[in-house]
Amino acid sequence: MDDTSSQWALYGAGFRGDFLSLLRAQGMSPMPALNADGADGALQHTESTTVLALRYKDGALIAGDRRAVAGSAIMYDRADKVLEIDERSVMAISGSPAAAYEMARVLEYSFRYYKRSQLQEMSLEGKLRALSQLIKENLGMALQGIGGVLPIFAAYDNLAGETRLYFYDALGAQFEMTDFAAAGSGSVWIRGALYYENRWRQRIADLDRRAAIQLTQRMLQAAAHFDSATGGGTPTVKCLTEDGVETLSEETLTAIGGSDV
Amino acid sequence: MYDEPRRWIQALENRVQYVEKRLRSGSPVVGLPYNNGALLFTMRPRGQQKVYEVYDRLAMGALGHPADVERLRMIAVNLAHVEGFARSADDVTLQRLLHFTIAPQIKQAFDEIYRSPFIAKCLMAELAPKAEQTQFFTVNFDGNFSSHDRFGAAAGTQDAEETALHAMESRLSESPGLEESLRCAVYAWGASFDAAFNEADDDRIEERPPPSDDAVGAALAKAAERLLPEAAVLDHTLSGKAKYRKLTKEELRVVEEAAEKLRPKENGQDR
Repeated sequence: MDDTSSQWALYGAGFRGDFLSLLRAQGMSPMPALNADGADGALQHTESTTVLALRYKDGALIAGDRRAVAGSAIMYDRADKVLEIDERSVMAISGSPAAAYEMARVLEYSFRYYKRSQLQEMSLEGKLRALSQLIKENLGMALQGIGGVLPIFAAYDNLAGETRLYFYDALGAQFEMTDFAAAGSGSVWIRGALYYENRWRQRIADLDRRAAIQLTQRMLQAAAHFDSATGGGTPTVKCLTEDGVETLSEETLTAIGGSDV
Repeated sequence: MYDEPRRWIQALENRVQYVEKRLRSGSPVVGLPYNNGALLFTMRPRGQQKVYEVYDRLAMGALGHPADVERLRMIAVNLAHVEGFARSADDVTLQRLLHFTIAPQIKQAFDEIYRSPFIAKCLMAELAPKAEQTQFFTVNFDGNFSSHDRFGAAAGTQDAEETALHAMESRLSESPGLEESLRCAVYAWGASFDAAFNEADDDRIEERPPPSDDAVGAALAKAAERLLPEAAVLDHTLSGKAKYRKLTKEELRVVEEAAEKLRPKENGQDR
């Protein structure tokens, strides 16, 4: 009997492309919950952030600052909070990095495994459900105040031929945003600005790529101005269109800039 | 009934004959390099797929019973993803997958005469991270596997595989573009398909000349009646982690052209 069952699990006809059940069948746990009973929130964790996403003329821009803090201490200024999950989806993370990075990794593997095993791409609905499920499974960590993750998820909808933006609450409910989404400690400072921009100046949906990149950078600068947990090096900005995901280079970002023109 | 060694051996020999007979008419899969990576080419029946993405840098093509091919494919895909998730994508290599899991499982299924063997042969390709040298492994139905420099082939018979390898070795230039590689793949496929049907006696295989262009053309024309071309590349110029890409209909047009050129002239002397 020894390891026949785990070997048999590799045939995997029954997984229907579900990467999590495949892992469990191998005796592996994708996101093991940490035991933090009695932590009392005394544990200092790195979280605060600003991430935002907006839908412009040709697609979506997803951006994030680079700072990671623990309390008032700056721990790291090169953190990457905007993660490419597959050719059609990008996740920007706010909250506990440990849980968020693991979540991104699980998602990436789930989508790719589904596509390769089922010989078709996972539907957008399916992808949203998968993320929702992970956030829900992480609830224990979130309630203990050490592992909450509030992501923004941007995906290209193959059927509708356009990009879509979603943000999630701590329980895994997803909300679709038509124009922009922002999350993290710095987002409170810029949501009003984004609203004003979109409502009274120029609709974000009508912006061209250059103007959208500029607005994104300006917003991150505004957030950094008010929120000590936002900042760090040149922000990460990814562009999601019909053609896939493009990471904007530092040169492009510097050239377009966020400061006054 | 199989408790005596000689009966067990006899049973295995029957099994070899049975599987070989089932595989003989299968459509070969050939693998060859091109300047951006590796190309896998085959001809597939309508409604079936024969070339698959396994992992970021791994692909496979197979012939045999579709259900067995599927079992093999799932072992490879599952294993690669579990391993890549637990460790890293760099730890997922064909060498590890084949040595430690795929080959032993195929062998076990083959040896246990009360279980059904894999009626399948497959060609696996791995895009090397740095060197241009792509690796091809041919995995046999008894769990044996072998690797060749630059080229790879899986076909219904040993002779058909060697014919394909020989055709590619003698025809492909040092650093071919995609189109050149694809033309060469078509030729090698045709030669291999021809060889599988017109096998020489075992003792004469060594001295058998490669098939003539007309024979290759005839095999391709015959195949075109019921089979469609299928090809995929592992292309290291692709931007994401996944380097696998299926060739489009437009790119596959070369296949028809190449087959058309080789079609034997209608002069009444053809078979």
